[in-house]
Amino acid sequence: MLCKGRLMDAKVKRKPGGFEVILSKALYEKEAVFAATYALSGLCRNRVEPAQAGYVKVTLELLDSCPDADRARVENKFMNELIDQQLRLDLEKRYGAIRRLIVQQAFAPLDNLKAAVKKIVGRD
Amino acid sequence: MLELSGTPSAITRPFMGVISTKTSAWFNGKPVIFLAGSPDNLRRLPFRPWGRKNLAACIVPAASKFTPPPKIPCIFDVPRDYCADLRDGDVVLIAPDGRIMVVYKAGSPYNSILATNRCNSLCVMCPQPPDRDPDDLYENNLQLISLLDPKTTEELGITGGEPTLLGEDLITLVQTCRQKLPNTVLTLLTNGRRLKDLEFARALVKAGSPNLLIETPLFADNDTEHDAVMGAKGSFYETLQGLHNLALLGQPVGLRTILHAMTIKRLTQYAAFIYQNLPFVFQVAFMGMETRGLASKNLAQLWVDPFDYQDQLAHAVRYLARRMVPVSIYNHQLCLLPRELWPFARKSITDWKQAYPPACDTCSQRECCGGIFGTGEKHSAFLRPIS
Amino acid sequence: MPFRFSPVASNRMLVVNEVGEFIFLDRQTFERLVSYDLAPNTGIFLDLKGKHFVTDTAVTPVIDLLATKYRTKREFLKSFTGLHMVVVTLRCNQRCNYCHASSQPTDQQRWDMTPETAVNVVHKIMESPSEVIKIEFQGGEPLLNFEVVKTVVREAKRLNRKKNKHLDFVICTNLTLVDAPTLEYCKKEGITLSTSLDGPKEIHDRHRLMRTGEGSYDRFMQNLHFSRSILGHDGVNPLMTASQESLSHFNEIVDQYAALGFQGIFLRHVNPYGYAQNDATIQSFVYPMEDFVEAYKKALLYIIELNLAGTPLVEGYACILLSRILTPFCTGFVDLQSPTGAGINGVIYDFNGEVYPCDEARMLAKMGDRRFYLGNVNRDSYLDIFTSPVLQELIEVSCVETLPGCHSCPLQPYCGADPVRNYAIQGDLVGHRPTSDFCMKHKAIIEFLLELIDQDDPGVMDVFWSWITNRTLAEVRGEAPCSN
Repeated sequence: MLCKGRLMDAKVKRKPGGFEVILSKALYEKEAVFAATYALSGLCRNRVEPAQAGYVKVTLELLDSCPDADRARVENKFMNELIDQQLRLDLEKRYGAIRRLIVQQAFAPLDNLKAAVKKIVGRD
Repeated sequence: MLELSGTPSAITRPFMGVISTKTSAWFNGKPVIFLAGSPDNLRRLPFRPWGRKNLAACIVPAASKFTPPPKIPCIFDVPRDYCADLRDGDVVLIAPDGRIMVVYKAGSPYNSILATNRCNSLCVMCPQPPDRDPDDLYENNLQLISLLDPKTTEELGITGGEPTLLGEDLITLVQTCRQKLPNTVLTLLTNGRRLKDLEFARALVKAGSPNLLIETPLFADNDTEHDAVMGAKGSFYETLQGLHNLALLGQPVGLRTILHAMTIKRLTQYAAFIYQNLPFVFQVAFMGMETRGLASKNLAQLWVDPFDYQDQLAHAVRYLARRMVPVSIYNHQLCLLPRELWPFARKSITDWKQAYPPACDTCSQRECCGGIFGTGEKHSAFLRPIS
Repeated sequence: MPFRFSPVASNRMLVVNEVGEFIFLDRQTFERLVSYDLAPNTGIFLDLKGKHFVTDTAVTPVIDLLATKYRTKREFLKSFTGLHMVVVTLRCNQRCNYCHASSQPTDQQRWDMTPETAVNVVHKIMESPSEVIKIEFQGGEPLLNFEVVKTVVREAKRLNRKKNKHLDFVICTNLTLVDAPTLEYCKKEGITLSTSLDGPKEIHDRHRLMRTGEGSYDRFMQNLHFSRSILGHDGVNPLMTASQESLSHFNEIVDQYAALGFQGIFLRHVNPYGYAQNDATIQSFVYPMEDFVEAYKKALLYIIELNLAGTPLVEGYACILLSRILTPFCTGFVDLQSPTGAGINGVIYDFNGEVYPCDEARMLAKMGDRRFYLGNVNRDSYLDIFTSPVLQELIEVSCVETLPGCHSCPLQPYCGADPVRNYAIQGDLVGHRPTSDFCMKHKAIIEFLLELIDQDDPGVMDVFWSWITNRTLAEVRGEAPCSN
């Protein structure tokens, strides 16, 4: 199960003009946290810093330029983005090697594609 | 295959010959089978062509007064209306029991060589289930090719069974066609599985080029369903590899699917798969099912009235036509097709299988329509004349 | 199998594979997909399998199929630099408010390309390995230095006797200076004209002004008809540029293009460079991209309606994107490619022989930033220019697979990068997607097209395919009488 339950674990603290989230490193990797904050960097000023052991704190402050329509949605948007980014990372771990194999096979076909596939996937 | 019979005389083994109704056109040393009765008053041959050893046999219609030359193999008492179906240039196989099998109809676009009865698949709707081959099939086929008229044979099919099971012999067969019939367009029907071997594919393409067309059945956009229809696990990806090999070799290749309960559900996905993965095909043919052989046996599992799948068919046809993939609809009656699909319908049913039920008598489109399979067990419940 | 995904406005998940095959999934189905919870015999699983998002059986043949498609999609990489833009003069008899070509008064001959430079340009062009070469004459107004146009054409054709490439010539002209000898020459040499038409008179004349200050519309129309009478109806192709004022008049502009019998229109957002940033008219050209996108969507639906009602008219931008989305083939488009088309597929030669990867890069140089200068045809060799570190850097920072924000975007197979634009607007080559209006525009329009395709309206699909395959609606529908 990749997605369900992750939202529950995040502790959100609302502050004037923004919010703060404490995220468990066991659930979210650094790349996912950075990618999610990047995606919102047009709307917020973001800060990522260490919290207590095993956790990371993300602070998002809405920019003055952030459109009103987006203000109320930023928190939701961030949490969804975070899940999507972590899911992408998980999928990439599983399928990144296949993606690279496809590109390799496209431009420099392998002598033994089957063996290469078997090595990555465990079956051909 | 059209078959006649009569009373045999002096036939010791099966043999093949070219039908001739004229006494003047015996040439090339090809064995001639003289069809007596035209002109009807001819009582005996005016000269002794058998002296040139090319009179192989005579066919004598019932009530004919014709007297064949002595010692020539003959079949007497062949019903007259059947004789009327025979034309100069037809090739027939004569059997000791008096059967006359028409193996080639001159001027017909539906002629084909049955390369083998054997097959490496077992399609759920196969009209002609696989069988063992007679010992002389291959030699007979080579002989048949040598009997055809290169000037008038515009098209010739090579079918099976699965012709590629002949291996090297298929290459020779195709080469023979190429040499003896240099202007004939050959259409090879194969499931393409063996063409996953690039070297075999290369030899075949080289033997047939440039007048060889290859048509291959593909039944689904995924291996699960295709393999189930073919009755052969792994066949989907073998066929795809074969098709890609052919594309690599510049060989024109067309696809066919047969419409029934197992193929009709995902017809648009099937069309999409072809466009994405096989955009090089010269044609995609959607074929109505001939309810014969295994199709008849598995009818309960397979039957969908063509009337009921018009929407799916129309959607898939339009999908491909938009993308400039040529589409043909085979074996469908115009009264069971929406008008927008009429331009894609072809009169495809082999002449000797073609039939028109009584409902067609008053139909305004009869001339444009291919009719139904006279050989089929079940037909649509919605056949009706178009006014 | 690998894929990319992103939520879309319709509250569904858009899922796209490496070669651009896509599917919309509702949230629940997507959850089940990524939790490996879809049964292999269900319709949705087979849908995903047919598009190579999943496989429960063989893997190797699927990878092979995807690799073949991937190679086909990237075939543009083989045709290195096919589009060569030659600025034969900076002089212009017009002074349009949004011009980004740094036009100069008509009497200043020192802004002309010399015949010697022109010959050197042609020699560089003909060294390109591309089999298809398109030479586009730009300005300024190229007709003000027509002798050099002729020099380029003559020299290119002479060299091509040996090279045997497919050679095309286009002159980008405001049409106000065409005369019979010029047009006869174009006809003889097989040159087509590309021009600018922003809409009906009020819209066109608002920004497309003569140097003397009056509007150019009347002369344009007169000369359009005159040009067509010699070059043939399709010998002149117009481009439109959308100012803020035209956004609410897209339908009238479309109507005008249709009435004039043009084959297509390209609804184009103005480039935020050059004179377009002048204070006096800035409000006409610096408008929110959202406004353009909304106007574009409405106009596109209107154009589709027009087509269905019997007036064939292609929207060029949609046509390119649709080809990318719907066909398995490669669709070259210099402005939206990965790696960037600038320099790789197109290149521009300034009047003084300086070479830049694109017009925007040339503009930056005019404004004092020579960041993208590749070399000069009068001094440098072909290899010096086309393997310059600048070009290599551009390629490195324009592969969408590696760009932040792009790397996980499902629209990757349809999109591209424009590092020069990133640099000009956002200050660095990589750019910042969350605030990029280039990204916003393409994302919104591509998603809009994907939704339209997903709705699968037969009429709309017929129109789209008539554009992609350049056929009439009747041909697309296969309408023909019974042939038997």
